[in-house]
Amino acid sequence: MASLRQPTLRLLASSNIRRVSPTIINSTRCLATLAKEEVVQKKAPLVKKFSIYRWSPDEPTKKPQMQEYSIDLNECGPMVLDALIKIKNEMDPTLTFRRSCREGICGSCAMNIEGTNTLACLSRINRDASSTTRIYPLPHMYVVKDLVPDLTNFYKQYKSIQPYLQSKEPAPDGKEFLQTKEDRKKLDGLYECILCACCSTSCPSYWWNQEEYLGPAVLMQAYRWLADSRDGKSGQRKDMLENSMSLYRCHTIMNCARTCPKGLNPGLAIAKIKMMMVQGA
Amino acid sequence: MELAGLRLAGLSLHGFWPTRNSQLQTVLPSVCSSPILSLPPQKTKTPTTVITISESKSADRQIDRQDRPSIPFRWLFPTMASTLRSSTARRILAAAKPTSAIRLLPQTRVAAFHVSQRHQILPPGPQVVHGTVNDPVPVPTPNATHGSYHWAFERIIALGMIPLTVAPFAAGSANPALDAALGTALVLHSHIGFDACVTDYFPKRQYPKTRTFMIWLLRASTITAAVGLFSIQTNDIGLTEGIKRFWRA
Amino acid sequence: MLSTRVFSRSLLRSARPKSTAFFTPRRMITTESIPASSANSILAAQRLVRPVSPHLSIYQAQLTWYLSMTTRITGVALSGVFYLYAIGYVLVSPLGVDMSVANVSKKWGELNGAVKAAVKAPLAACFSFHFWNGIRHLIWDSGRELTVRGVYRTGYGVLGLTALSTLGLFVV
Repeated sequence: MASLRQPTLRLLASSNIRRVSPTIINSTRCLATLAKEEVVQKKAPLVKKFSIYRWSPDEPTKKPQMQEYSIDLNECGPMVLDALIKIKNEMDPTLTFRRSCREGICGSCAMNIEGTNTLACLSRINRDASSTTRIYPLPHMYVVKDLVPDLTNFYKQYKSIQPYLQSKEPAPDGKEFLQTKEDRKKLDGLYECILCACCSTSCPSYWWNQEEYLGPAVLMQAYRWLADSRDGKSGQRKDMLENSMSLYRCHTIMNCARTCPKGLNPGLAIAKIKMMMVQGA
Repeated sequence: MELAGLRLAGLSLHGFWPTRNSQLQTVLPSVCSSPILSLPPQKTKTPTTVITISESKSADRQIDRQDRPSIPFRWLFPTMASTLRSSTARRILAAAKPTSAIRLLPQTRVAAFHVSQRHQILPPGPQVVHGTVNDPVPVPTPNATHGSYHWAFERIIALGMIPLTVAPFAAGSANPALDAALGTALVLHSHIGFDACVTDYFPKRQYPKTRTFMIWLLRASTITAAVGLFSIQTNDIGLTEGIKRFWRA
Repeated sequence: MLSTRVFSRSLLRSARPKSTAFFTPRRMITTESIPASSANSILAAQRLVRPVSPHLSIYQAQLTWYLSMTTRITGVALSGVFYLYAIGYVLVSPLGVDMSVANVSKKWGELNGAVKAAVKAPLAACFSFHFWNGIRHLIWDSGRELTVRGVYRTGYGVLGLTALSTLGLFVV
């Protein structure tokens, strides 16, 4: 019992325990006794309806449909991903969605919840029982199944901007590329992107021109490498954007910054790229 | 601020308040407490959503080989020596009958989705991936005329139009130089705006002919409008005076 | 032919270890082996039938894209009217129809006051909104006010200025 948190209980847990009055034991709260002592109050069920987009590649001729599920929120975790997992576990195992980290860092569970693109694991369920929470896949993407979009083109676009450090000559001391704190600060707000595709799929320009326009996520990463003082290929990077479609389909709609679940600002990064392009710097 | 009840005539007003999406959700990411991929607990009912795989021969009787096993979704797999072409897939899909049966739980409702691809104004078309999934998308050849120069030119015109739309009317008397400047800027600004619309809504790969037609229609319209404008300014009273008369009539 | 096939099959059967059970359990699912190269064609066939997830109909109404949409619509409307008149001026005059400014404004002046106001009000609103939002776009292009708060602040500012200048245009 030496691993118990409170030293008083460690004493009580020794062989002298029988000589100590039970009231002292009961009044000392510890992890071991908490579950048994608490009386669980059963709450009235708070039933919430979820309306979820369904489409199966096994029946491709069948049109996509909205399927409604009712969940008792008192028996469910607080986030939309909790509700989806509960539906999949207990009600409908055919419901398909991506998920991994459940803490907002992997970007797998990106979907359109109540009209906005967010991560399901970070999106709290709206506890208003009179409204239905509508869940769709990311907008204007080809649907693999239910809530799973095909992100192939998104990743191909990310690869095309060459998201790695490229320098002309090796490091001055032969070991590492040094960077001042000010230069490192310029990368804050850019490197934290988890490539969840929420911003790109919220952009109407990306909806209409998915194949040629790179989208806010990829463009922000392009800027991340343009702004990196250690990178030596700014000229080539800017040349990759010097056409009518890759960068200049952005009309500063700013849906991207509004929807980013990590609080980043791709619209600002794109504006900075445009300024860099005309400065010739 | 509690935004749960922010609705106006059924329309959610959340989008008209400048809260960032990340602030609406959570400050500290709470841990999702559901077990992932857990087995359903014993006390709940067994999931009754069942997909049955039919044992009968599939509807595809054209392929009539003796040792061909009967499998569902046969249209997914190619025939012996050929690969499935898109037209073949569509034909097979049109003829194929669904061979699976899905029974739904009584408390789930299924509603038809009201926007289908066929009724969209400019449907996106089937998915096409160029190359393999590991190839980057092709980078177009750099062309500053269509890139940064075009963007800068557009901004200069827009910037110039701010005084040009105000000054001729504030000046009082007619000024042909200002009139000409306003007219030119207006034609250029309109052309660039229309061109952006055509580029946005008619992607080259999906609508090659329509796009070419729209671009040339736009160019013809711009030239005709410029000629008309020139004619108004030389033979008629001019643009500024015309707008004034229209407004005050 | 047949004999060789029977012979090879019997060889295979003898090569397989003898099952000790009276029967081998039959699997309920039949399988077919396909070459690995067909994976791409299967995927390509699947891609062709995928639907596109909904976008305009389901995305939340936000000031960001609503104002952007309105800028485009007002721009197209204003330029459309201008182009129609200028093109009409060129194309129609050889046919004898008088589209000179004097004639058009005379015909226009003869219309009912309410009709004139009903036409002028949306035009004034379109022009005001497009003008002020254009300035907002130029502010953004300089790198300013490009946060969510900045976008909403300037957005509501543009809406207020639009209302004021529409009224102002009627007074002018």
